[in-house]
Amino acid sequence: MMSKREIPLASADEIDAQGAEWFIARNEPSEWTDATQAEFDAWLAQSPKHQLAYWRAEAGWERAGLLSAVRPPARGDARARRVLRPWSVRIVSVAALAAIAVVASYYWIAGRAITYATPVGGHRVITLADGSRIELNTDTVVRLLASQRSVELAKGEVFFRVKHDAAYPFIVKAGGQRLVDLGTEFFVRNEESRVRVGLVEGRVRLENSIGQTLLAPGDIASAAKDGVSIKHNAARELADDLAWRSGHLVFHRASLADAVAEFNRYNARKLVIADNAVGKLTFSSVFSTNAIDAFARTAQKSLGLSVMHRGEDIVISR
Amino acid sequence: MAETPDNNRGRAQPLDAGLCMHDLKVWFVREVLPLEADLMQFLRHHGRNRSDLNDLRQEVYLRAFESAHGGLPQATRPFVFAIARNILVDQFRRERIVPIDRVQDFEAIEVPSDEPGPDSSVIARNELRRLYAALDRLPPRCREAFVMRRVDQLSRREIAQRMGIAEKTVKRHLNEGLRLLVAALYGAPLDEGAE
Repeated sequence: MMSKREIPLASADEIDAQGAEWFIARNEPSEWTDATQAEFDAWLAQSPKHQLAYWRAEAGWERAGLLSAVRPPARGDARARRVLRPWSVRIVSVAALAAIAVVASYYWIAGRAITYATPVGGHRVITLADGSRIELNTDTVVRLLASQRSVELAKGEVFFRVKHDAAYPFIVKAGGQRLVDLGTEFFVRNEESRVRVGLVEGRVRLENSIGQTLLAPGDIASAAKDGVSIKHNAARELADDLAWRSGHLVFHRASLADAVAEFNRYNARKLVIADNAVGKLTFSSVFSTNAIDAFARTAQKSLGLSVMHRGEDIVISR
Repeated sequence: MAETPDNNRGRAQPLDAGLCMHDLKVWFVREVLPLEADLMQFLRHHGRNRSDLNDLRQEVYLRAFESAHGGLPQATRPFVFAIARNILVDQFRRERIVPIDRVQDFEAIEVPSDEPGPDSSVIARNELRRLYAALDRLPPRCREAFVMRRVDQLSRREIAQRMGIAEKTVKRHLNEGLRLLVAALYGAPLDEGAE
C-alpha cells in the first residue's frame, strides 16, 4: 500500500529539510523569482508529503513568532497611567538592583515564620501544605508564616500558584505593597524602588497606602510608594518575564547594559561593560540564564565588540 | 478508502462539504501537528526502535490528509492514531517477521484516547517553555541567525553582515535552524523540561 505512493521520494528527513528550506526561501521575497515559484510548484506537486512538510515548517515558524511577541505594545494598547520605564526593554536592569534591596524586616526571623532562600543562580520550588506552590527565582528570600497563607518577599522574585480559599486569602507582602490573592497564578518581583507584579491567571488585589486596585490576567503592575502603573493585555510580555522558570532570558531590543545587569542577577561570574556608549547598544536574543559566555560571544560577533577576561569576569568594550 | 479508520466511517462530513486546501491546512496545523509528540511516542513504542520513525510519521500524515479530503473527522486524535495503528499492522504483516515479544503488542496496540486538553494558560506556559527548550538545542550560530531573522526580522544580508559570514551560510543556518526547531517543537515529548 505504501509502495504504491512511494515514487522515488526522498527520505522523511530529507523531505522535512526541504520543507524548511522552501519556507525559508519563500520568506525572502526579494529573491523569489518566477523560476523559483515554478520549481516550488513542481516540488509541491511531487507528493502531498511535500505539502505537509511545508505546512509543518510554516507552522513551526509561526509558533516561533511568540518570541517576536516581545515587542513594545501598539499605541493605545497600553493604558499605562505613568510609564515608569520603557516597555521595549523586556527583562530589565532594575532587577539587578534587587540584590541591594534588602528590607529592614529581612532579619525578622520569628519563630513562627520559615525562611526560604535561593543563592545567585538558584531556582527552587516549594509546595505548601494546601497544595499551593511557590517558585523562587535567583537570589531570593521569602518568609512564610506558620499559617502558610502569608508570604513576605524580602528580596528577589517568586512565581506563585495559589490554591484559592475564600476564608483564608493568600497574602504576599513586598516593598510596602500587599497582594491579596483571589485564586490565581502570578509573579512578584521585589525591585529596589518598586514591586513588579504580573498576573497570569485569576485575580489579585494590589493594596498599598494609597489605595487598592484589582488586577486581571495579562496585567503587569509596577507599584511604587507614590503610585501604580498598570499595563493591560500584556500576556506576551508576561510570558517573557517568566522565562526564568525554564532557565531563560529573553531580550528584545534590550540595551547591552540592561542585559548585562540581568545576567548578573543569575551568575556569580560577572559581566562588565567598559563604557556607557557600549551599554546603549541594543540587540535581541534568547539565552540560558547562565550563558554568559555565549552572550559575550554574541556581543563580540554580532555587535563587533571586544571581549576580555578579567579573572572570572568578562569585560565587554569597543 | 481502505485506510480510513472504521470508527470514523459514517461520521465524516459529506464530500460536498466544500473542503478546500485551506481547510485541510488549518485542520492539519491545528489538530494533527499537535499530536506529533504523542504519535512519535506511539510509533516508537509499538514500532520497535526504528530508524524510520519519521518515515512512518509522514506516512501517517499522508494517509490522514488523503482521508480527510472526503471530510474532516469529528475527532482527530482517534482518527490519526487508528491510521498509525493500521500502518504498523501493515508493516508487521509485510515483514512477516514479528518478534515473539511483539506478538502481544501487536494484538494490543491500543489507541490512546481523547483527553481533555490543558487550559489555555497552561498551553501558553508550555508553549514558551518548549520554544526556549527547542531554541536551546540549536547550534549557537544557527540559533543566532534564526533569532535575528525571526525576532528581529533582519534580512539575510543584514544577518550576514552582523555575523560576518556569507549570505549563503546564513541561509544554511536558517534552513537548519527551522528544521531542528520544528522537530523539537512538534516531536519532543510534552512534559520535557517540565517542573
